[in-house]
Amino acid sequence: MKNLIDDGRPIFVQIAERIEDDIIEGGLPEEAQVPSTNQFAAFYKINPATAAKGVNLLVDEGILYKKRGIGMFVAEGARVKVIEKRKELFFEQYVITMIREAEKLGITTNQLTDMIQRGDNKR
Amino acid sequence: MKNVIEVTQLNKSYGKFNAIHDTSFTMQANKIYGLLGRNGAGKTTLMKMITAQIFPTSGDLKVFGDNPYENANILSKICFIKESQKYPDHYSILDVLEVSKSIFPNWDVNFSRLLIEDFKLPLKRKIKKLSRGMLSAVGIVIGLASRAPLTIFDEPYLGLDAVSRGLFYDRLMEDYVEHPRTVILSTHLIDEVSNLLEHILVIDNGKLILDQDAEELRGKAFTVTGQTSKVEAFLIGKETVYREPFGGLLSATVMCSQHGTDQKQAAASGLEISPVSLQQLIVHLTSGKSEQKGAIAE
Amino acid sequence: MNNITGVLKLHYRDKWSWIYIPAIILFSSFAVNLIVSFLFMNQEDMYTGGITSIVIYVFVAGIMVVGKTFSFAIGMSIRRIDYYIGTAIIGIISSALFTSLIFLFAQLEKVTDGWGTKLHFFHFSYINDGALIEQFTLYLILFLNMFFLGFIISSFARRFGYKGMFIGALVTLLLGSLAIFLLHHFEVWGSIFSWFANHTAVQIAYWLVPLTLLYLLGSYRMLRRAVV
Repeated sequence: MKNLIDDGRPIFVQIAERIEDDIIEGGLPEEAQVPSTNQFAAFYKINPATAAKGVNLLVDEGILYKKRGIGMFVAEGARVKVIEKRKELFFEQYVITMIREAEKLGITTNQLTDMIQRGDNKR
Repeated sequence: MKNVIEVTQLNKSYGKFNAIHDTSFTMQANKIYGLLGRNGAGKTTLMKMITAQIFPTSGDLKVFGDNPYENANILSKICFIKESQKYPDHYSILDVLEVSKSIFPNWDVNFSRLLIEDFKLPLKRKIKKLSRGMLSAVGIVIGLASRAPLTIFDEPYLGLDAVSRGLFYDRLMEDYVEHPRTVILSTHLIDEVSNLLEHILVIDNGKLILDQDAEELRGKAFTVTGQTSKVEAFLIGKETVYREPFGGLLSATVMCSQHGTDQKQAAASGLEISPVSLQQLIVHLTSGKSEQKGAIAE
Repeated sequence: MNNITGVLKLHYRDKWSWIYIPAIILFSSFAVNLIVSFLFMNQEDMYTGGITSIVIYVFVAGIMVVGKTFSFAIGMSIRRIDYYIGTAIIGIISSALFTSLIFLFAQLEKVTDGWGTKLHFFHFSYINDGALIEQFTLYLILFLNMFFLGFIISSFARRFGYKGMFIGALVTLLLGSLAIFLLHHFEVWGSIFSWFANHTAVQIAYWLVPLTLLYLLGSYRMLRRAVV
C-alpha cells in the first residue's frame, strides 16, 4: 500500500486528495460515511494522527462533517465544492505551468490553442 | 497535552568526548516519535539516559514528570528495546517472556503468543542459539506485548528481512491504534518508518539539529534545479541544506519558510522543482559536516 | 515489591545456575567419594574435602551473578535496588538450601557411621562438634559469606570495569602482602594459630558475620551507581 503515498509531500494533504478523488468519482456519494482515521492509518500504514489531520482539513473546508459518536460523512454539495477547488488547482498546476513551458519554447498562445485542439481530436 | 519526556540542557560526556551536547526537547503522550541520525550520533546514549541506564553528566531529565533514576513508578511504565540487549546465558525465549510477564504491568499474554507465531519463534530454543534476526524479533515481541506507556525501540530490526520488518511496522500500528502510547523509534531506515511517525527529532554529533512535526517537515524541503546563476539568485535569503553542481547546472535543496510561495517563486524563475523525501532531507542535514566520530557508549 | 518478585523469577528461571549445576557438583563429588570408599573399604576412616566444591561453587555463583543478569534486569526497567534485594534474597535462599542439605546429610552420615564405609564427606570432627543449631549456623554463615564475597566482587567489576578490577586486584595484593609482612615482622603467627585453636568452629564463623555485612553494604553502594 505504500506506493499509494508518495514521499516528499505532506501525507495529510495526500489523504485529503484521495478522499476528494473518491467524492468526485462517486465512490463516496453525499451523506456516505468516510472510513475512520484508524482505518486510513491501517490501510495506508500511516500515523492515525496524520490521517486525522487530512480528514480535518476537509471538515474545515466543509466537504466532510462530523456526526458525534458516529464518524465522518460527506457533506451536502461536497462534490460541487471539490470540483470547483480542483478546477482552480488545475489552472494553477497545469495551465500556468504549460504556458510557462510554452513561453520557454517560443510557442505562441495561438499555437498553444491549436495544440489543445489537436490533442482533443486525437482522444 | 501532557509531556512524557522533558529534557533540559542535557549533557553526557566521556572524558573529552561529548556524546550528547546541550540537548533540550519534550515529548508528548501517545505520539510516535522518530529519533533519527547516523550511527554513533548519540541516539542510544540519549535513550539510555531517558531510561536511567546511564547517568547524565549535567542537565535535567524528567520522564512522566520526575527523575526516572531508581523510580519504580516511572520505570514500570518504560520498555526499552535495544539492539545490544543481553540475556542470561541459559535463557530460552520462553524464559524471557515469562520474566517480561512478571515485570511489565500491561503485558498481554495473548498478544505475545500471536507475535511469537507471526515471527515464527521457537519458544524452547535458547537465546544463545538464535540467529541475529530471531534475537531482534524477541526484542520486538517484548516491546509490543509489554504495552508500556513509553515504548522505545532502538534499531530493533538488525538481521530481520524486509518481510519481517514490514510485519513489525504492521503490528506496531495495529496495536498502537487500539492502545495508544508514546513510541520512540530510533532508526536509520528512515524511508521505511517515515509514514508512521508523527514527530521527528534528528540528532547529529550529539546535538539535536531538528525537532519538528513530521508533516510540516515533509512539505518543507524541496530541490530546485536549473542554471547556476538562476539557482544562486533564488537561494539568496533561503536556508540551503545541500547543493550539487552539475555542469552549468546547480541542484540545491532548500527548506522553505512558507509552503507554496517559495515553490511558486522557483517555478516563476524557470527552475525545476522536485520533492525531497524525509530520508534524503535527513541525509543532507546530517552529512558533510560530520567530524571524526568518537567512541560511543555501548 | 512487585519488581523484587520479578528479579526472583529472573534468577529462578535460570535453574541451571541455581539448582542443577550445584546439585550435580555436590552429588557427583559425593558419589565418586562413596564409590572410592567402597573400593578401599578398610577399617581406616576416610576423609575428603569434597564438600569444599560446593562452597567454592557458591562463591563462583556470587562472582558470576551480576555479570550474567544485571544488564538484562536493568534493560527490563528494573530498579537497581530491586535487583540488589532480589539477588541477595536468591543468595540467601540458596545458601539456606545448601546448608539444610549438608546438615541433613551430615546427620545421616553420622547415624550410618559414614554410609557403612567410614566415609566422612559431610560430617567432620571439629566442624560438627557443636550443637545441631551451631552446626547449621556455621554452614549458613560460611555460604552467605562466600556468596556475598563473590557478589561484591562482581558488583565491583560491573561498577568499575576491567580497569577497576585490575587496580582493585593490585591494591588487594599489595595490602595482603603488607599484612603478611607485618604479621611476620611482629611475630604474631603463633598467637593467631592459638587463637584459632582456642575457638570452636562456630565461634570463628561468627567473626565472618560483620565481614559479610560489609560485603552486602559495599555491593549495594556499587550497584546503585553501576551502568549498563
